[in-house]
Amino acid sequence: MKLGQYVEKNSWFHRLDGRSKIIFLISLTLMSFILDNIMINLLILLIIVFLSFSAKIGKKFLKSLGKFAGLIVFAGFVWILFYRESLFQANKCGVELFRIGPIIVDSTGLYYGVKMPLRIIIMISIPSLFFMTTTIREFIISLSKMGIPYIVSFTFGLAAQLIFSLSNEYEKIKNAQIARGLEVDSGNLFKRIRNHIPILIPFTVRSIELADEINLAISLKNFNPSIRNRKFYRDKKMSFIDYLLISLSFLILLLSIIVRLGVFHELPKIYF
Amino acid sequence: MKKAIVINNLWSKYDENWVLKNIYLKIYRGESVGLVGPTGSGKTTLAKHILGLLKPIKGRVIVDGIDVSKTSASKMARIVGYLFQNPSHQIFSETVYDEIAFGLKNFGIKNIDERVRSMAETMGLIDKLEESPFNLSIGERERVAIASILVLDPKILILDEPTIGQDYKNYILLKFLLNRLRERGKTIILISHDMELILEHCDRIIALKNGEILYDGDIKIFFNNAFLLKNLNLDLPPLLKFSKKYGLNKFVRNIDELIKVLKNEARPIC
Repeated sequence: MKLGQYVEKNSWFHRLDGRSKIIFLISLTLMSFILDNIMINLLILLIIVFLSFSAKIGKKFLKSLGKFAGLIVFAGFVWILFYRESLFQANKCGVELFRIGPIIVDSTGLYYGVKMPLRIIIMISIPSLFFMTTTIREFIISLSKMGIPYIVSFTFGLAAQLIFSLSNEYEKIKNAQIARGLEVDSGNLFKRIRNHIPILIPFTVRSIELADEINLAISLKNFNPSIRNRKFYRDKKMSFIDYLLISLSFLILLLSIIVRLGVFHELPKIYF
Repeated sequence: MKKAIVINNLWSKYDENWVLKNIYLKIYRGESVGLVGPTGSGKTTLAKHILGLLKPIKGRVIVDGIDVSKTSASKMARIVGYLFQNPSHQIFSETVYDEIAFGLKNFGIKNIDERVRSMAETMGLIDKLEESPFNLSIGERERVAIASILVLDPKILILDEPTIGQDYKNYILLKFLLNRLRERGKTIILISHDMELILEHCDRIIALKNGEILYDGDIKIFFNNAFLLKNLNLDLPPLLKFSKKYGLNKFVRNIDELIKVLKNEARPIC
């Protein structure tokens, strides 16, 4: 199972209209950025995990998210050790905890080492939850109904679809090269990167071929994106829960902005 | 006869679905086996387990005495040659020569030049060695892909739908290669929906359906079982249809055999 690949289940979250899901998940993402607090981000992550379980895809969601564990841990270490070199680093340095040669590990580094990976997890898991519970067709229809020109919606949908097609192609190419004795995951980092060249070249070729095939298939079906008042064969109607979720989304956004502007007391900080 | 592949109680899963269930199999050295079944029956998954690209959830796969789950697929590639369907999935080198030599270099095999040239000669690619494989026709690229696997001289060869998209010249070349490999005592597993190819080159059939072995045995009995063929969405090859329609007693496997039988069984029309 690939992260973000649609999982067919009969759950309340699957049945929701795509528009309400998009608005709700965007509001959660914006909340994470506006409030920029570890506790809030943890809460958002808990909400996402809860939603995935209520959508009956919890295990698959966590399992596929687990594939990014290495990347997330790596990001954490990079921030802890090198946050001082960051382009966007504006805060003052924290209390020095210990040194590893010329590298200083301090409390601010530790804070970033938790905050940034958490943000990465949120940025990965929100779109994943959406695509694991929404078909590409529904996604295109939802964007289109939200007033986005059909050609743009269609392109977004096609791009999302292509990610999975290309992921399958990558797997096939990797297997074909392993079948000729290529050791993909052995040796040091540089050797591993070099070992990926026999995969990346056919992958690029196949990507171009695939794009060409799609182009041909679309042209053969006389695709015309400029048709106005497009009708959809499977049209969903917004339910009460959809309206409720959209209202909740706007409420979340409003509260986030109010809190950010400092109308209420500042959120408690969990660090120094 | 020595065993080339032994599979005991193999179970394989994709997502929540069992793709292979309770597979027990023994394939002997030098055997030529046809792996048939409807699309999604688990043929390619079984082949990937033999190469070690997939590791079993339950059960064991022993290939040439090696437990596949304890060895990397790239190491198993020295024993098992796997020819994938699409040549575009493996071609990356600047020249045909480098493409054929790729596997040999990975295994640190000596006399690369000799082996590459000999293989290119067999595959009709000797005058293309310095050309870019990307400039070749699809048929030629397919031959490059086959050459790059055969040059490793694997003991076991798995061909996954080798006739798809092949022109007549390549099809004949493939049949010639299969005959040569059989003569050299290689173990061949042929995954195909092309029943004519299966009939001509396989002695034994393993039929899969829904991840289970539905039939494992002699090719003659297999093609005589109409119910089984229907169950597997398969049809008799034209050669057998002809011999059945005209009531020929002998089981024929290629045109030459059919002509021979026709000559023997022909009665003069008064």
